[in-house]
Amino acid sequence: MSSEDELVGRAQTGDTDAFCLLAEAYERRIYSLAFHYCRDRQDAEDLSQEVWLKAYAALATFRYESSFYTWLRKITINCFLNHYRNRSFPWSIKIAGSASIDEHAAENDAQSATAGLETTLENRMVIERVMQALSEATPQQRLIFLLKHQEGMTYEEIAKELDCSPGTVKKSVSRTIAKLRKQLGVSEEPESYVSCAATGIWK
Amino acid sequence: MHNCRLTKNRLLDLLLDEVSPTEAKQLLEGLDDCPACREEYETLKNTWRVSAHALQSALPAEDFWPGHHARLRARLMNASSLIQPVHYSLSSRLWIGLRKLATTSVRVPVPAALAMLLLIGFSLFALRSSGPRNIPPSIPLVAVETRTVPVPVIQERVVTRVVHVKQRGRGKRGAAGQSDLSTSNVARASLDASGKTAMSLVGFKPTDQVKLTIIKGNDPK
Repeated sequence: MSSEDELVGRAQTGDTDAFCLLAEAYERRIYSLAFHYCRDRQDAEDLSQEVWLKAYAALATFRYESSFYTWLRKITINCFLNHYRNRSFPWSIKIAGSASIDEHAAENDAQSATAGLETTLENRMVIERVMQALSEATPQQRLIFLLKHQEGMTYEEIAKELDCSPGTVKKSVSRTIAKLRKQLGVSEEPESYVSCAATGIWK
Repeated sequence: MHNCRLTKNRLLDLLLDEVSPTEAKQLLEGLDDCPACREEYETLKNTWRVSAHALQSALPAEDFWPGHHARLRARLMNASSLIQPVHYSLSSRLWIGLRKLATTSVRVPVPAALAMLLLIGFSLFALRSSGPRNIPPSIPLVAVETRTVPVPVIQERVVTRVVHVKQRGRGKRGAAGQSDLSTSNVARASLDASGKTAMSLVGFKPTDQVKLTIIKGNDPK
């Protein structure tokens, strides 16, 4: 029995400390997904905490048929979709480069003291553009993109989780990439990529 | 034959590892022959890479996480008093453990696995060949029990039916009718003391044709 299974077993008997240790292992991944999904620091915190609370409440249903993280990710996706359906987050008023993202980016910039000012500015610009592209995508497109990009799930796996066809998933990823290319100034013409690269975005 | 349109449709799949290794090899070979497709693929790859970099950079700094974990822990501790996870009984836990044991796979190197299989095979063969060859056929241990069972026997029954034969003359309507009437009168008049009808052929006139009617049933008396 792996240490993770052992922790799950202990958590199933009501050991909250064991569950907190499990949370420590995966809280960054869950928060990252939530943060990129709702693009707000506080909302991401609330959403990720909700995921963990739901996971804790549903721990008895975990039957060791998959890894703990796969099971947790299922709960995360359901949680995100429920929030989207319930419209508990004001999606429409969130814009890329909002205060939350700026806060995180500024913290990161402050930490990278060795980085030059020019590089920092370029990074900020690229982040803003990527976030803008993601904000233009629908919540479902954004979720699909994140599951593919961040989680490395296959079309089939995503389709199964979201109850749609792999073709829909592929189309969704393709549309989000088209939005990213548009925001990053990479048109369909290959020549424009060269000009973009000259500005240093592709470093 | 390289087809730019078909290749461009598959470039995203190639980038996201959604093609088979064979197709990936073919596509990459096709890219070597077509600079436009190669450039398109590189652009896609860079877009993906830059997105990854941007998403990573947008995440909170290291000092954010201890606070985040502390808040989550506090929330879980508060919730644990409200949410009570279902505790497994000993039998359920035993069952889960057994199921896990049954479905657990163990990695074994192929040569070791082959050696083990061969060893088991040889052992089985040796056991079969060294065992007793002329085994007498086993006598079936079937106990024979004799029982007397009463069997219902179908008994024959003789059924007697009385058949009445009525003779009726079929002459001309006038004469024959009269004769019938007279006959019945005679018959009615000739009832004996026992109540039985005495048959009399007085006034009976034979005709050319005789029709016999057989009436089945009980005696009308």
